[in-house]
Amino acid sequence: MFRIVFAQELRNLAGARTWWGILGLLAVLIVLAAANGGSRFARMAEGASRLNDDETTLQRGLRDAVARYEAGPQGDPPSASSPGNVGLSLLGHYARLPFPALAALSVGQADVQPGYYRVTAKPAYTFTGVSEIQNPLTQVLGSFDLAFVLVFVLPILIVASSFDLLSREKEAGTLALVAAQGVRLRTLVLAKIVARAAMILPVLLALVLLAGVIVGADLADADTLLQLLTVFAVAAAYAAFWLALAVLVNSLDWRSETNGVVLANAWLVFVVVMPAFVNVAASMLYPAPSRVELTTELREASEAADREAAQARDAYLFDHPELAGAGAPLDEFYLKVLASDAAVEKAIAPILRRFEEQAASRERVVAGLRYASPAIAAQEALNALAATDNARFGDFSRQVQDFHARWRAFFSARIARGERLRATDFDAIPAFEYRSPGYAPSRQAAALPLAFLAGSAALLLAWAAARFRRYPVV
Amino acid sequence: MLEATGLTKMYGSFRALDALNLRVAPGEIYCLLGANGAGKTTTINLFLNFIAPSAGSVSVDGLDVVSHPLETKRRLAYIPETVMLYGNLTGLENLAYFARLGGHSEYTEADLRGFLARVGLQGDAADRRVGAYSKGMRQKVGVAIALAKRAKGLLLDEPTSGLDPKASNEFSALLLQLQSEGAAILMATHDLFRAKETGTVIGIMREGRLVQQLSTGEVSHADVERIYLEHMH
Repeated sequence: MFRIVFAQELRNLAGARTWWGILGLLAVLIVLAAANGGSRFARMAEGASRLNDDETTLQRGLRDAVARYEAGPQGDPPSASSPGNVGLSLLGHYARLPFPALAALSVGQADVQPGYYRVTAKPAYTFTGVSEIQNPLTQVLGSFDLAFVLVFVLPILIVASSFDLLSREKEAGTLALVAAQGVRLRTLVLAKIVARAAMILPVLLALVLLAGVIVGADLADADTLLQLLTVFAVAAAYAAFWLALAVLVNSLDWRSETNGVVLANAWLVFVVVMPAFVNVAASMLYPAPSRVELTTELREASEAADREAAQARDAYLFDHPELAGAGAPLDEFYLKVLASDAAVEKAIAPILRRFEEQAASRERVVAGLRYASPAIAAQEALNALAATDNARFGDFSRQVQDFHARWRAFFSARIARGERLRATDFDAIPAFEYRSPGYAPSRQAAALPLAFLAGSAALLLAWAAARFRRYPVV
Repeated sequence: MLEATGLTKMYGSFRALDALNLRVAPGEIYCLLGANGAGKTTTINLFLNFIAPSAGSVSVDGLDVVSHPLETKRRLAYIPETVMLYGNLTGLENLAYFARLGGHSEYTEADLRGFLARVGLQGDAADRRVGAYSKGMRQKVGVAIALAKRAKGLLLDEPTSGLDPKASNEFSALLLQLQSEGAAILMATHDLFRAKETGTVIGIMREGRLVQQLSTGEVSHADVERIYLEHMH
């Protein structure tokens, strides 16, 4: 009986112009979104690849100046040989987060989190920034990428094709005749569900793979292919949730128009309102410290540190005896700067810690509330798979901090020892290279949201099945 | 074949059907007559297990309908008052689909066209989409679906509603043919003439109760009308 109804439903769907319109619209949107995401990341990558061009040119020029002096010393050593001048004034290094090709499928946090830092020997807070970039519209709507189409548009298409899945049969009068043939209601509904899944899932899979090709992913690479298949799995589970919700609404024996209104409102709540609410709730519960407050505290700490510069220098060398030089410090001024920076860092450490704790608490709230909405769960999973989620940026931030410590130590050690930079030293200046964890951790991160979506769909279907036992055929 | 014993249906405090007792044996055509709301459609819906009885029992071929919902439906063919089909399919495609649902995947296209011809669906109408059919044409396809099921029992709810006199007459002939093949037929109808012409038993319903049962061979057309109207006042 199932096979008969399923085959007929497939024929009905295949013969319906609206159905092909829905699939066609989905295809067009996905292709456009992938192209948009791809070009956006291509522009970002192109710009990012030139970030260190000026720094490299500067570093080479400084090295050449020192090399020329070393070849035939004439007059005073060049300022390029001063580690203080080079490390604290002139030179920086752009630590860049490279994005994999699939990042273009879900811009995610790449819109609000920095993808690069200009690392200097100054304290980290001078280049990391401590204020949140609040763009409520971006946070609510996201960018026009594959994830946007899947999270926002796909449910609309699913609902449009299934809001009257059973109610229309009842209103049209065919349900009684079908039921009179001995077809169980659950069999009928299941066949309709499976027919819709059979029509949409292969198309969705093909479109996700196509999107991967458009953004430049190498499908011949097994890891990349597996990643794309996981993206498809998330999309399929999310689609299953919405289909299951439509089936549940149909089981309530309302009119088709009522079903449509209810499901449209469900879309509004789950896809638009809940994500915005979660962000607002997190910010209200754990607000970011005031930017004015931070600026004021920084200024007060700097002034206090300047007044105590000498004492701070002594204290600094006391804390770092291995850095004490044999003679008078070459860069006495820069030594004072180092000491002053250390004093300021110490003074503002509590407020920075408070900011980080607030940010971490906000993230925990968002992570906890992600299961309040299937849209949030799906978006988070897609961000993880595209390597544009908070975890990726957090990992990048930690690697930048490690790099900053090495960069800073390179120059501060020489400042404290009173050493001049040699030409060969310039070749040893650290350079940042992001150590990518690969795709595997992201698939693990996506596993729980995926299970949530699939589990929610199953629960909704079970609920609907229970209701169909009492569904009045006439 | 079709039996209702003390069959009662309540909707809240409203008694739609009150302790109905009736029996339709193989080869009998039992016509339920009554005004709108008398309980005729409720009776048919109870036989189809579309609604659950509040009291009493209803059985098809000895099987209780409530505890054997699928098996009893497989023994029944049903023609509703308004036959609604899938408008995007042709008459032939609708018949093929419902025939398969009814357990008959073996029919060839010629067999299916034969059923449609037998019910008088003219010429190339079978190949036109049902969305363009008149009510009468849909009714004929509904009759063809019932024929194709080759069921032992038939439940007909106002089957001639919307049929022209010729089609109605042809339908009566079909019923008599099915009767001769041993089918048990329960037909709800307003058509006193057709009930007397084709029925073997007439049951008059009023306000959910079977108020009188007549053997059609023992009464004339005029008697049927007189008795019916007496109960309706």
